[in-house]
Amino acid sequence: MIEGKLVEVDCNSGQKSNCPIKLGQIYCDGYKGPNDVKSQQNPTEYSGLIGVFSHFHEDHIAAVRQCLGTYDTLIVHPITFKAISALLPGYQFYEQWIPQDYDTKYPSKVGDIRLLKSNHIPGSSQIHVETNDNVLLYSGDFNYPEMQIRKAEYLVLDATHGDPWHDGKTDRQSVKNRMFEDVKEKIESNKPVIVRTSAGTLQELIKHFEINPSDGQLSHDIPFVTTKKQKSVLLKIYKDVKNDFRDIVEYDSPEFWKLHRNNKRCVIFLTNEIIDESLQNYYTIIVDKYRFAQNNPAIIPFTGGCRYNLASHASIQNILDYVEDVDPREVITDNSRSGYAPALAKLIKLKYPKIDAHSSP
Amino acid sequence: MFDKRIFKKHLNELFLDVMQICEKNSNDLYSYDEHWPVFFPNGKYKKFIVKKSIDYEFFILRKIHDKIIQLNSYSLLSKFFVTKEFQNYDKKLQGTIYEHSSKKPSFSKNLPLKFIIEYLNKNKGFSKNKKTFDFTFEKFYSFLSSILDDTYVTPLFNFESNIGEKGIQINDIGIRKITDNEFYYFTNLDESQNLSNVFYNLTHVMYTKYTSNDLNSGYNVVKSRFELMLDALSLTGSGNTLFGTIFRNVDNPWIHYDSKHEIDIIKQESLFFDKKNLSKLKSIFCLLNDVDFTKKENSFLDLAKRRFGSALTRTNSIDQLIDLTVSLESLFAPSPGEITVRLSNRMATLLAKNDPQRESYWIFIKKVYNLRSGIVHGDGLRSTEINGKKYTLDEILVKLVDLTRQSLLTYLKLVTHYSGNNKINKICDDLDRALINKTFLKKFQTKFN
Repeated sequence: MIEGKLVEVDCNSGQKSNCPIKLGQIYCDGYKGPNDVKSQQNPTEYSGLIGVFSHFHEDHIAAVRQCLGTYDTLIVHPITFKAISALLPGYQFYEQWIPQDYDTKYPSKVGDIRLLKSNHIPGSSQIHVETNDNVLLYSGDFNYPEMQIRKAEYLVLDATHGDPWHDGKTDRQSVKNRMFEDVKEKIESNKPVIVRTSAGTLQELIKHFEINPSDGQLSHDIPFVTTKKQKSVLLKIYKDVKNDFRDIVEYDSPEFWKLHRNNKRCVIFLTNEIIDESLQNYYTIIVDKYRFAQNNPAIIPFTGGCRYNLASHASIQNILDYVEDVDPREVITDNSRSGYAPALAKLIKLKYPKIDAHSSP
Repeated sequence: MFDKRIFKKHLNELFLDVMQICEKNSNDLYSYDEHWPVFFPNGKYKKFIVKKSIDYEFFILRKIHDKIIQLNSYSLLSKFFVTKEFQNYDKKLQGTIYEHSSKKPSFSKNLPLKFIIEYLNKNKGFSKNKKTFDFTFEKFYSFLSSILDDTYVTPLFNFESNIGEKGIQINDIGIRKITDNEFYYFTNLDESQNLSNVFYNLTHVMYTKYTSNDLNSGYNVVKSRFELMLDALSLTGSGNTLFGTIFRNVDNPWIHYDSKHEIDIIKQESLFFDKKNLSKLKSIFCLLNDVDFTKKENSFLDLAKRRFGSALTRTNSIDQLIDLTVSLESLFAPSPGEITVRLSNRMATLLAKNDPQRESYWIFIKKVYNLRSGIVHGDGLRSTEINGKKYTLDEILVKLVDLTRQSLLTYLKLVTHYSGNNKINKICDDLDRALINKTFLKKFQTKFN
C-alpha cells in the first residue's frame, strides 16, 4: 500500500518534471515508482499500480516509457492511445494499455475509474476516480464549458489555466472558420502559409480544413505539410476520415524542399518547437501560445501574420464555474506545471471560502 | 565586425570538417531537375533547358545538420556571431513571432552552413577548390559586413533598352539586364509550361538596396522608389513600362528570398530607353524626387501624375482619354466653371513655342475636351474632326499623351518657384496673365525653360 496523502501532486525527490497527480492509488500524467530512493527499499510497493494519461501532449506523456516498465495498467482514451502509438512506435504492443471511452467505468481494486471529456485536444480527458470512501478528480487540461462534469470531493486542477494573460474569450468554431478564410485568402494570392500550434490542435485544424470549413474547401492541389511525427498522429487519430485528407507532404522530405525552394503555395502545420530561419518570411498563423487577456479579441493580426485564440486552456471565470460545478471540498492546484498555482488557489479560496484550496507541491 | 583573417581560418576548419561528413554521407544526396532559361542575343527569352541539380541545401540543412552542429569547429565559429549586428539580424528574422517567448532562436548560427551550401553549389563536389573557397568567402564576408541590407528586384515589363548587365544607376535605384536566376524565379520556370506574353519580352529589371531591422517595412519603401523611377521613365518617352512583383534577396544565396505586391501585367506598347538618354532620365528623376508629393500644395500635381500613369496602363481608348483629361484638368483647371476655355487657353500658353502652335494646341485641346464631355455626359464618341481633318481616336490619344507629358514636365519645374497651399491657383493666374501680356510670358517662361 502506498503511503502519503490521498490526493497530491507527487513529485519524485523534489523534481518538478513528470510529476504524477496522485488520486488515491492511481497516478495520472507522470511516473512514481522504483526510481525513487525511498521506494527502492520496498520495490514491490508499486506493483499492481494503475496509471492514467489525460491527453497526448508531450509534457503529459513524457513518463509513458517508465510507467510501462512498472505499472500493471495504463488507461487512456482511444484517441490518446492512437496518438501515443504514432508518437512512440512499438509502445502500443504492451499489454498494459486499456483504451477507454469517455464516461465508461473501469472497475479496479482501488476504485472505479472514468475518463471525462475535457475539450482541450482530441481525446483529452479528466480523470475521475470513485473509491469506497472518496470521489477524486484530476482536471487535466480543459476548456469549459463544453466538457463533461461529475462531482468530486477532491479536485486537482491543472494550473496552466486561469492565468490572466490567457483569459480571453473565444468561440472555437468561429475562430477556426475565420482562420480557414485567412489561409484561403493567402493561398489564393499564391502565398505559402504556416500554422504554428501545439500537437493535437494541429491535427484538429488539419481535419477542420479538410472536412469542416464553412467557406468551401481548399483544392487538393494545395499541399499540406507537417512533420512525419504529427502526420502519423493525424492519420492514427482520424483513421476513420483519413481518406478525405489529401496526401500530407512531410516537412523533412525533398518534396517539401522543392515547394519551399520556390516559395510555392502550401499550408505548413508546425508545432511550436520547430524553428526554421528560411520560413520567417512566410505568413504565419499562431494558434494560442500568446497573451490573450480578457479584453483581447480572439483574433489579433500582426505584421506578417495573425494570432488566433482557440482557448485550449480555460479562463479564470471558466475555472471558477468548473469548480462550482464539481463542488469539491478540497482543491489542489498543480504547482509542478505552472508557477501560477498558488495564485489560482488563492482566487478559488476567495470566491469559495468553504473550499480548502491550496497548491501542491 | 570581427577580424577577417581569423574568421576565415576558423571557417576553413569548419569547412574541412564538414567536407568529411559530406563524403561519409554522400548517399543522402538528392538531385532534381531545374528549367533554366536561354535567351536570344537581344536578351529576350528563347527556351528553357533542363539541368540536373544536386540539392546541397537539403543535404546540409536536413540530412547532416545535426552532425555539423556537434563539431567543435562549428561551436568555435558560432562564437563569432554574437555581436550587435548579428543580434539585430536575429531580431529581424524573429519578427514579432517570439515576442513573449522566453526561448528566442538564433538564426545567425546557421550562416556558416549557408557558406558551405553556396560553396558546394559553386564547386559541385566535396573537394576543396581554393579559388572557389576564396571567391565564396569574399562574397560571404561582404554579406556579413552589411547583414541588414536587403536587395529588392522587380521585372520591368514593356521596356526595351540597350542597357547591359552592369546597368545604370540613378540615386539608389538601378536598371540592368535580367539574370538567369531572376528569370527563373520570376517565371516559376520549373512549372510554367506557358509563359505569359510579357515574359517573352522581359529583358530588364529595376533594383535597389534597403537596410532595415525588420522584414516588413522594406517593401513599401522600395515600392515608392520604384514608382518614382517608373514615373520618370513614363515622362522620358512613349510606352507603358510597368514593374511587376517585387522580389527580395532573389540573388542572395545567404537569405531565402520572398516576394510581395504581386501583380499581373499585360503586354502593351514598350518604351525603348537608349542608355544615351541617361542624363535626361536623371534630370526628370531629380525633378520628381525634389517635389514632396505628400504636401497638400502639390496634391494637384500628384493627381495629374497618377492619372497620367493610369492612362498609360489603360487598354481601352475611352478610359485613356478620360484619365488624360482628368490629369490636364488638375493642372490647368483646378476649380469648376469654363473648363474648356481655361484648359485650352492655359495649356496652349504654357506649351506652345510660337503663335501658330499656340492656336493649334488651343483648337486641339478644345476638341479633346469636347470629346471628353460627350463621353461623360452620355452622348458617346462625338466627331473626331479637327480643323476639317478627320482623326482617329488613337491618333488624338498619341498627341494627347505627348502634350500631357510635356505639361507634367513643365509643371515639375514650375512648382519649385511657388509655395503655399494656393500654389496651383497662383500658377494658373500667372498663366492667364501670360496669355494677354507677352512680356510677362517671356519672364514666366524663364521659370521652366
